[in-house]
Amino acid sequence: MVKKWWKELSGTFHALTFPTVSDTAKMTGISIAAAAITACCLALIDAGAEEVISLIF
Amino acid sequence: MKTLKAIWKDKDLRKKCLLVLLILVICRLLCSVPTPGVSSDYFSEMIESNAALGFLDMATGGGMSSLSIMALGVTPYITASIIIQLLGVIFPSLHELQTSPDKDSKRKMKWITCGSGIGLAFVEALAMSIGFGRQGMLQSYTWYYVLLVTVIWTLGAAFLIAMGELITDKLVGNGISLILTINILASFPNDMRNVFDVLVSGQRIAYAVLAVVGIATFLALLFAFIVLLNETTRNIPITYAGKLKGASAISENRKSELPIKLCPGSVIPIIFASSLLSFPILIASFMGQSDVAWMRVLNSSYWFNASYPVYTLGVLIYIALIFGFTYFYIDIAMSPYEIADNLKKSGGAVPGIRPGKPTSDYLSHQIHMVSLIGAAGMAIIAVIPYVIGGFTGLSNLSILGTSLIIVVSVILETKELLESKVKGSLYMDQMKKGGLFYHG
Repeated sequence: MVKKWWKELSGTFHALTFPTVSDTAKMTGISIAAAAITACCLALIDAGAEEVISLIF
Repeated sequence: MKTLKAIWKDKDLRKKCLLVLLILVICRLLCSVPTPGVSSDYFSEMIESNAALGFLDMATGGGMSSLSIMALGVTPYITASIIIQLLGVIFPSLHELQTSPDKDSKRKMKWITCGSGIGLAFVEALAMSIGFGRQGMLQSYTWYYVLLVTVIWTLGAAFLIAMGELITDKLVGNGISLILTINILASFPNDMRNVFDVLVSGQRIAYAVLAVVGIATFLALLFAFIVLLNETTRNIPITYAGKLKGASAISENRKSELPIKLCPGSVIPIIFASSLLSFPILIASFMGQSDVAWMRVLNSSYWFNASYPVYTLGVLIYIALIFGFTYFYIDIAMSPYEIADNLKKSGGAVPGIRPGKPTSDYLSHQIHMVSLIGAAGMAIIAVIPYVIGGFTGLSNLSILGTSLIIVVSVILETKELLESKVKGSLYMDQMKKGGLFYHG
């Protein structure tokens, strides 16, 4: 029973359509770049906001 | 890069993108404004000692730990939309409204979700003001301050929901997802500094270089793994019967594919699982009894901790809940019966499987098998932060786990949307140049 289920699961795994290596690399690069640039901009915005808030309150 | 250039050239799209950026900056700036009448550092200690609450803090962009006017963030909206999706299974009229393609039903659904989100924000704000207010969160525990803080937090959440809907309806992208992503990304710099302080700072130069390269490689591989989970599909072959053309000729059978995503629920099962685990801890905190021994099993801060190895058993409960909620989600959100019915109506069939119930059973089986592989992948990503936290003492890192899955999926989704908008706009330009449109 378990063997049959495992065989079926590995069959499903082999039937999966994975993105190509170049597509994965491209999308990973875009994700990292977008996340890093946004995080840097947000750090600047937060630092500026903190300064302004500390002046007001 | 090409897409960015094309966006900049297109006046309308450029205006929309700049407006989205402006709204996101305003939302972010408001996260720094403190709520009057609260001790702003009340929550920070509690959040540090509970990783499940840490995710809540990340989702609110640090608004929860600093108790800013945006302390609730968009989390009430997300919770409300998940609850309404689940209620669709119980109430057929709601399910009809959810699945109906007409504009009126979609508008109604949007109002129901937004209204429930704001209602839930009010309940959460009131519960927090009363529950934690008497324990020292409020500088003065009087009805006036309870009401003031409740109203401010509810209005803060309502403002974010309204901005999210504005972006989705009138501008570019999924507004709520973008606000959530911005909030998560705001924690990245601080988390990277913490990682640097613990693993790199003060080490010998050779070790430090090795550590930086190791961290960068690990993060890149984690991003790639999430991209892989996001983009992998199981394509079920579909054949559409040929149609009669004229008196005797029959067109050839058309072949197509039905893609089943590896993780149809994305982060929802993980959010469900961590919410369910943190719920008893939150209730105990409300009652002022947060450190009961059995509760440490549920508290992720004690997992993979060499001093308390027995509490790591909680991870098994967490993984079991992720698998359980994955199946729960696909059972309520995906209907193989409806897919099979639609295929039958459009003359399509899975080769070798009879239309109707056999197709529905086959699709259900395939969806469950594929989701099992997806849930295993998701469980690996969800557990990684706790393993690292246990061994290094670095907890609540937004650069790992659930938050990274949200960030990567929203970035990829927005990229695809922008590309399709650019293609659409180029196509329209070419049509106009070709004189196919009449400009009267």
